[in-house]
Amino acid sequence: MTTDQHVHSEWRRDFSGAMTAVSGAVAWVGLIASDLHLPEGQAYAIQVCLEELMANVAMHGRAPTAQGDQAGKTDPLKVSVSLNVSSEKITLTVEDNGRPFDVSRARPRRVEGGLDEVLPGGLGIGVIQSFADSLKYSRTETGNCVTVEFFR
Amino acid sequence: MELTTAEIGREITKITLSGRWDIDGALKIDGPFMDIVKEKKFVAVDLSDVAFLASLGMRRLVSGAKASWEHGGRVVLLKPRKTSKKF
Repeated sequence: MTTDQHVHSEWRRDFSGAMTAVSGAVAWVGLIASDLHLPEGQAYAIQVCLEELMANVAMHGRAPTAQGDQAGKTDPLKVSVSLNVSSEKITLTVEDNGRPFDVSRARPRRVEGGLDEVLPGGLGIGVIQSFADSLKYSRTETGNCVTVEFFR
Repeated sequence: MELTTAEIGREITKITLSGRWDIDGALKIDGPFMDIVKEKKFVAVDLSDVAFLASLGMRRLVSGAKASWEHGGRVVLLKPRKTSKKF
């Protein structure tokens, strides 16, 4: 009698929450995807979601204010990125210590009307929601946790 | 990210972009891209060699199209890759 084996592989790395760290994080995930020979479209989806999530943190995360002797100073924004790969799905988890923001409930900006009406920004939310098979958010003791799933 | 230009006839400028239009790519070409779309009337942007396009790149494309439209010009996109088409 055979039993299914679900083999999980996980990678995790910490990054600065600054915009300058985004490309490095995306490249790191890209290397993992390449090593795993993931389909091009799926590797692309994972990288683009990570880029959007980290860019959101960098632009809007606003580091938490430190307490006590350091009052008035802010802790640096930090992001932890995890990639879990199983036979059923790939799970991207992005945790940050920024201000609360539930990306799963954010409304994507609608792109409609002519060029005189459309606005250039605000497209990141829609990008994440369109590329992800599943998008979940939770608030942790230290910040935000976003889990994005890509089904295989 | 690299940006090259070519004139097609007397009125059309073709911008060819190569590489990844991620944050680093955007920092590199945003200024030159906007300069061209504001200066030239008809601009065709060849995306066939853009391997990665995220919302920052989309933002620039929309900004460029709006800037061009506002001075009576046009921006068209050529040959986006399958992954870029999803945008």
